[in-house]
Amino acid sequence: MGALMIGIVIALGLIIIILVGYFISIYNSLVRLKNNINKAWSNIDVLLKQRHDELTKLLETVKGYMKYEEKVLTKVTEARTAFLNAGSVGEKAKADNMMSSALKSLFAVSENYPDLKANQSFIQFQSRISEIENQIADRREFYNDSVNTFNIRIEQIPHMFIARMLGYRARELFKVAEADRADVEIKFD
Amino acid sequence: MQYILSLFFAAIGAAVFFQGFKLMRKHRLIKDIPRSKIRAMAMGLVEIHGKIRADELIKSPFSQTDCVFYKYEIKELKRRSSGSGKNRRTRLEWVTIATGDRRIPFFAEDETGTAMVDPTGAEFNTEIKRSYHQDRDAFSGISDFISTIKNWDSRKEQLLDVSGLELKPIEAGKKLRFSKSAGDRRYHEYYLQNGDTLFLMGTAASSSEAPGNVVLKKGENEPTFIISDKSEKGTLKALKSKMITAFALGGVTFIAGVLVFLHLIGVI
Repeated sequence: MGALMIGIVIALGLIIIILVGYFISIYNSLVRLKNNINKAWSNIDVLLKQRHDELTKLLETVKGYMKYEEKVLTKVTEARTAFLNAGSVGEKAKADNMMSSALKSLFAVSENYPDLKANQSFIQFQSRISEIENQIADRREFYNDSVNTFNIRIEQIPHMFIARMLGYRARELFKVAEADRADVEIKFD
Repeated sequence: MQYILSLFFAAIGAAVFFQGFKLMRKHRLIKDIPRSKIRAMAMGLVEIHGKIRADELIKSPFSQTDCVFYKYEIKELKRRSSGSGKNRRTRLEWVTIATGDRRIPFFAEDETGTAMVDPTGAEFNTEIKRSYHQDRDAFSGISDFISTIKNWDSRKEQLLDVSGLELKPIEAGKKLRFSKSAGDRRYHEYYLQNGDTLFLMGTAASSSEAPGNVVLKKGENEPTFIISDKSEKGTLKALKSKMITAFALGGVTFIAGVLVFLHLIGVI
């Protein structure tokens, strides 16, 4: 066998190694993307639970002051129950949207109660919940970026073939409710 | 001797070739992980974009610029010869004779918050910021100077005296107007300053010492820790070209080494 022939055989061998490596990297990348989504969701879930805990304490504080705001308090309690019963991403997203909307109403109505507004515990809970809300919004964006990257990748060639082999399907985005995008309507009697 | 040399070249080629896979992994990792906002950064491998903010700064060795990271390179123009007899040729080549870097912890800041960055073990990806040329007669005791820089690294209070080096600044992108001859030296400086925008990919870990209790550092299980003043796109482009170079150069060197070895043992 001539030098040229051996050179070509080795070069082909190296090209095959690169192709195998590329295939493995696509496989690993898809697995990583799928796990990124699960991790991003867990990171949101941690904050949703934290908000739930803070909310329980907040409700205890406001109950005494806002006796006549039954509608607002019921809305918050309902959202809290919906969150506890939610299982899938879609259900939790819906419950989260309900909660965000209920909290906005609660904080808006609290403006009518100067004593409550001056209460140190209320101020602390309000700031803590607002902080968590902001973090949830950022992590929701991150989750949607992760889902978007995954959904695009599994549609692209050559990733599509491996994704089909693995049985990967497009994942659901964490959608923000239309009501959440609009300003809160506040009515004073 | 020639046998060992050919096998050595084949081994170097194989190592460079497989380095291409490491770069491929890094390239994929950057593409796969979306950007996090600092406020909502979760524990584990994260990608953030932010500006450098630091109260304590160090000075770069040649331009004395206040920075949080610097790397220097000293290159010397050396005469290299190849071939023998009538085919003997000599050419001038820049050879690195000294290199070093220094880094200190700093903060990365975006519109949502601030995170502490511990740059120990980070791979810095930045362009040459300042270059200087030195004629061969201007300074002879290079080894003394290099050891001075290395000792000076640990003594941040003291400024390095570079006045005796007679350094001529080289403007970026412009051709050198003065002549080059063997023994000339070039001094290159890379640095990151307060306010520079960075692309960072590293492991976010909890730390009671850091504000916000989070620090970005090199992970115990995840070796990827990149600090770059290029955009994500620019970093990916640089990685891709390095990866292609590693596969091509490593592959060719490996094949050449194997062919020479086979020739020497009489197979071809």
